[in-house]
Amino acid sequence: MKYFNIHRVCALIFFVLGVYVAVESLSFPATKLDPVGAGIYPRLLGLSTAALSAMLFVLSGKEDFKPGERHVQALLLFCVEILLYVCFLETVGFIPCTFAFLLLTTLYFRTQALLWCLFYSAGMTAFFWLFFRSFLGVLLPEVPIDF
Amino acid sequence: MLHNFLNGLSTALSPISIIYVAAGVLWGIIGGAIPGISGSVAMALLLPLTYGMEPLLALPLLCAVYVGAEYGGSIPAVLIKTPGTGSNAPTAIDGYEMQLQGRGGEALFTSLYSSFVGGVVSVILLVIFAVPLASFGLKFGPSQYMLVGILGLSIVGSVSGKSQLKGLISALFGLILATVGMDPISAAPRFTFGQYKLIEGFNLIPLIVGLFAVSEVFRQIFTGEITRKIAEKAKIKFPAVREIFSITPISILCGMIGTVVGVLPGAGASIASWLCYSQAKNFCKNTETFGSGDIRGVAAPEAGNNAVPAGALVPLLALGVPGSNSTAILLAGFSLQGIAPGPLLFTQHPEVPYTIMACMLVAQFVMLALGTLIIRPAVKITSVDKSFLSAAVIMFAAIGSFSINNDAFGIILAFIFGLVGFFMKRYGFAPAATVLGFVLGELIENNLRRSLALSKGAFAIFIQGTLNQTLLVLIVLSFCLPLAANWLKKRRSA
Repeated sequence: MKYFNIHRVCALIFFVLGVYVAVESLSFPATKLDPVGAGIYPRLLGLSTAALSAMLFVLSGKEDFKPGERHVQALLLFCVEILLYVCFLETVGFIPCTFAFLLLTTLYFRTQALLWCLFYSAGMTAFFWLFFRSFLGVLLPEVPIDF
Repeated sequence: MLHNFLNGLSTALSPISIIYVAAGVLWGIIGGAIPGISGSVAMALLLPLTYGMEPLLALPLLCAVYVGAEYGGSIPAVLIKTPGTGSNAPTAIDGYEMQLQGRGGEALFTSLYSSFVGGVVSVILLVIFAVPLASFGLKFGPSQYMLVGILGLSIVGSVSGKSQLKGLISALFGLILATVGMDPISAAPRFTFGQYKLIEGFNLIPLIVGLFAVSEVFRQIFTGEITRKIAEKAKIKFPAVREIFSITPISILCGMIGTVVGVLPGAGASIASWLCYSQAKNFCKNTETFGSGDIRGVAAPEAGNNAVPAGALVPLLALGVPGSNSTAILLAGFSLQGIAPGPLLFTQHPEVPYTIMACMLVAQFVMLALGTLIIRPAVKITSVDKSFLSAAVIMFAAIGSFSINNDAFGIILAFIFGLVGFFMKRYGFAPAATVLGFVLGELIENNLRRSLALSKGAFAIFIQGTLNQTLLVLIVLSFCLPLAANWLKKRRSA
């Protein structure tokens, strides 16, 4: 039995969160209008979380965790792709970013032909733009004119 | 009363009125189905168009949008685990599991049928009890609201999965997330790390789409499910007549609960749907299948949240008090028509409230017809290649989160909550319990503090009065009944 199995790591993370919330809540001010104060409720939540996490830490010693099939690289690349999308969305604009995101995603997982991926990416980008920007008036970032 | 309602019904059944109601329901379904748009935004987008319309067409149109939106949110919740509105989050738990089992059509029809039943029940209650219900709603003070919030939390056990302890921690995590931002009473910033974008706290949409939809896409990528070929086209199967009959009593009961919750200003459809899910879990037999594709887990929240629009009309029509964003927009609609809702409305312009009620009833039938037509093409979405569908889900989540404040911060939040939800689910925690905690957090904290401020710090306020004592009994029953049932089951099997 490993002392630090994944359940215990999770319990520790929540324990630290609970303690942080409880300690941080001590700095919240109370006013004359509000005798209860802004800190009591989060402190109660923090302490409860810490107590339950400690219980989880103690009780989860014998639990097994079966990881199963894992595609860590694919998930990491997808996360990077989302981060790049967020970084460039407001500077490059919605249409090129969305087209690139959809094309890269469908090409990476490549279950259909290239032409289909291109057609899908262009079609969906046009649909999103027309529906959300033109029809619903969501202020999606435009392509900068001086780009 | 009946005479006025029948007069209203004759107006509501005119062809022009049915066309307006149908247009409103359809627009509501579309608005509700898109995360970030929601019923209130769909109503707000339509509001300027009602200027210059006849009051007896404009106001039912807005009400029909409200009705359609509550149902519309369940479609993406079932198909792609992306609840269109906060109130459809509990539907995603069993609805999405049913879809994964190839029972997407069944789940969608259940959602539609129970929404219809819940809606009809609520309109009937609205017609009969509008004025007494309004005065009952006014009896709810901060301590009662807090107890209603705690009652809603009793569901944690049923969304926890294998570990109740992890479910409780997940719910506490949601309650903690709800405290981020400006303190509602003293305006002190809490857990904002100096970020002005966190001053208003987390918005529900990035949190829900992150914990439910984005995390599901991450899971599919991580397990390699995204690249697996779909073996066969999705078959559209509707529930058997026996199943429809079996969910009817639950839908009627949840329709009643939803109506009462709708009457309470500030409570809203999200609380109604979680409350109904928890009560269905507590009071039904053989509840071990809840959370793994149980038809009753779809019926209960949908009946509850679709009963809220009619319930929410009670304080608006009878007292002129809007209890939610949607009813506030409806109040604006009344203002545009030069009509003041309130007690005098029923005596001076009885045709207005009773025509609205009749149109709400017609809207339920229109929703049933339109929804049945939508199910077949909607289920086909699940036959689309998974990589294509997942990319589209991420884009819907991103645009929905972006549209909250028109900046990319919402997308970042959805992405972070997606990762959090992915890890939580992988290691046996319950993202649904986190959403529940988040939804109820504000209600519980605000009313806890208001109650204690009123009682000068005395906790006795929570046990005073018949209403509080009834709610406390319900809370104790809600927490203890499942435990007692488990204990009895273990003892019998032993």
